[in-house]
Amino acid sequence: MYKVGTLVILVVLVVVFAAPVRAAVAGGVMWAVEPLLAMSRATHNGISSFIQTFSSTRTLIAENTAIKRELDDLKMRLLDRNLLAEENAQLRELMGQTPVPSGVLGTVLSGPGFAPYDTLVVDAGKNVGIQEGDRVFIGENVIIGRVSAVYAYSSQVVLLSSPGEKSDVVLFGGTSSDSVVTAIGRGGGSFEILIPRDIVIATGTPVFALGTSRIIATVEGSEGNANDPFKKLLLRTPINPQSIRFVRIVSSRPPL
Amino acid sequence: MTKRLVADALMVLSAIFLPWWITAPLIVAGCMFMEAFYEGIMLAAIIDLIYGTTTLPHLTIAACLAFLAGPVLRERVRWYS
Repeated sequence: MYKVGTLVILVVLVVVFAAPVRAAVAGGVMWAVEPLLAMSRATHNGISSFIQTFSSTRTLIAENTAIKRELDDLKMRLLDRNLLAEENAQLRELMGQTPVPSGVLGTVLSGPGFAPYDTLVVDAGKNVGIQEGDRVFIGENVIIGRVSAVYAYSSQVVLLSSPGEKSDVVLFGGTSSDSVVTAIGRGGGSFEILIPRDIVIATGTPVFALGTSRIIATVEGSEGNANDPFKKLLLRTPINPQSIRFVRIVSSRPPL
Repeated sequence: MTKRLVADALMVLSAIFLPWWITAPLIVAGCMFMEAFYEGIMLAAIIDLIYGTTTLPHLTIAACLAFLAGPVLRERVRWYS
């Protein structure tokens, strides 16, 4: 009886995870589970706010000081950025290109740390026109993933930093000319790139997606030994994937 | 029977409200201590369907292994009270 049951369940699993059936089954499961995931997210937010009320005053003062310092630093950078953005807009206007803000805002229902894979479940699906392959951003310029499955009211996003995920990127600011390389995801918001040992890239250098001005990650450091002609460049996404709460999903289809 | 139903309900709740690294050991424990714990495999399959990509369903495979190893371990492990 036990053996027959095991065999039956194995057959069922093979059928469930087979490509043609999987999407339909996953759609049904997501339809049932999505409200529960939203409830779970709300509960987590409530619990973490409650726990924060018990933080010690000293910790809060230290955090406050650090945040103020960071804010001052960001204000300085923003001034520079605003000037550049203005100049960029003027140049685009001269060239006859007017940028139009686009995309759909999605709330993250669950993400890495909570889920066993480097994926996000977002509360935007077919109902708002999301399609498989759409790009996922944080803010305006940081690209973090692509939509891998779309359901009626939700969608699944694979992070570019998922283990084994490959992305073509451009490295600026090396000792040689700009290089186009492939970044391989290592999970948890980190990537690795194999580059010749002689190329020196400073920590904090942004790495862009090929053919765009979108940031994928920043350089964190490198590792390798003196006998190896190549070294591993370690990259990290600008934001910790576990703390992502909102994303912007942009269609990958060309505008009409 | 009641004990099993309570365990099943707790496990479903943990899959929804708690991180996977709490649910996964619970599934393994279920396979260890309960007879023919098919629910564990189904729960792992649901988690894989929700969060997994088209690659291998790792959690389901782990649950299947725990399911198969459960009776063997139960027989061989000696419990002292």
